[in-house]
Amino acid sequence: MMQSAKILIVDDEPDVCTYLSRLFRENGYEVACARDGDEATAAVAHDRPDLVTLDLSMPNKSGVRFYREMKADEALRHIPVVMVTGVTGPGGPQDTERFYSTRRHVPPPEGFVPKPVDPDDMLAVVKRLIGARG
Amino acid sequence: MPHTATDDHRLFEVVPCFISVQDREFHIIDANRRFREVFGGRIGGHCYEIYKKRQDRCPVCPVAQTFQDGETHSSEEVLIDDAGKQVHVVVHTAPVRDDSGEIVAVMEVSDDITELRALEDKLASLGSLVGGIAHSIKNILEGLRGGIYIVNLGFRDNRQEDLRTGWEMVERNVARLSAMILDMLYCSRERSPRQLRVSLSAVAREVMGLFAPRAAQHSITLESTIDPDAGVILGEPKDIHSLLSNLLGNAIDACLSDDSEDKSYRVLLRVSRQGSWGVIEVEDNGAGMDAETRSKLFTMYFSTKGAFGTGLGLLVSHKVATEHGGTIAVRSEPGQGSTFTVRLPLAGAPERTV
Repeated sequence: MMQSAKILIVDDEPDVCTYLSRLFRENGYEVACARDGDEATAAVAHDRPDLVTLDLSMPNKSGVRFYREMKADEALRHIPVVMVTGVTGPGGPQDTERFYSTRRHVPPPEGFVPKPVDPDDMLAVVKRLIGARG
Repeated sequence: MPHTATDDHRLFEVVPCFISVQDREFHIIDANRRFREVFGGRIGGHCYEIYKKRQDRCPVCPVAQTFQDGETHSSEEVLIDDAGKQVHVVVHTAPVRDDSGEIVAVMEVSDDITELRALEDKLASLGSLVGGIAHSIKNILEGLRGGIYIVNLGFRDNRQEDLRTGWEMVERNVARLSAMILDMLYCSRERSPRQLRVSLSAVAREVMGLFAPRAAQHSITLESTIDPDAGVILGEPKDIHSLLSNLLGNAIDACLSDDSEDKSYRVLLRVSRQGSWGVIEVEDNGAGMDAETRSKLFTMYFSTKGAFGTGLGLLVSHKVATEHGGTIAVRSEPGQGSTFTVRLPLAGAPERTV
């Protein structure tokens, strides 16, 4: 039997962590949560998740730093990242654009899911990236 | 209609624009009334000294360009009036020629567009306000959607625990939305506040009582020095109450979000009278703010509290203070804490207090 795939949720909103944790567990994935970039950095190194969901708009911008560092790390860059984005304001198109324009050497995230997250959309993206290894 | 030089000069005087005439050395050799009223009457000085308060010529100068090519040039400039205030203008230049056709002077005609610029700034910040609010609402919707998802799982599997978790998420996010909409209504209201007599010390004691349990719960020392004769202002009691609540709530949040070890936190509310002003100060020794955060505090949709702020609290506070003829200011250093100071004009002799 194949082991369950592990997903790391990076989001500063406790309710979002609860929501996504429940969604992924319900579909057979293992889950861990990180509330900011520092926690995420530690969790990625320690847990070696199969996929990361990331909200870029965390207040202190630590999500951006986390993403850059992770994608610069030979040992971690293969882990797919699903970015959860709003359409306006922080984390919206302007932020995403700035995110790329200042970091051309950083590859784009493997998936995007708009906010508020639709459960089926999120699962479809996750399945495309790491399969239904529940 | 007879036409004389005197007539021309009378017209020149009353044109509702700034008009000045410069010679080749950039001396102002003539200026109309409007120009003299705003920039002073010193005919003969250098233009850049008079309306830009500079020592040297401006790097880009439409007057110099017109001397060079005899054409009209236009540009947008920021001038400084005699009181030190910025005046935004659109300036057009024209050559003044003598009988032989040689350019002997250049005339500048400037339109004051300061109010237009201020309006543009206001629209821009309104745009970012709406964008910020939309984003916050999206986050709240995400919480609601999550709650609904978990409640549905609870129904499907008949599991109380899921029902409870999901329903709490729904309740919490509905409460966030309500708080946000109240703040939005405060921000959008354009009427002037009612003119009721409000005792600053009474409101201060009321709000202190409201926050005492929360401070105690987190071991934050909440103290106050309230001058009973701090005075009475004319205004809307609910507004003053919400202003104080915002500041005290923020001060407690600033202590909670600080991550230094072994610090004992305290929040101090001071209410006093300084001449004809009532002064409210809220001081904390919490996380403090850097210059960037300080600069957008009162004017932009902005939150450092993630899920826990509406991003509107200090906008509301600023609006309340200014609507009541007062001011709000902040002193803050990262790691040291913040002090917010509100000054409100006191009412005359007390008759009846609300």
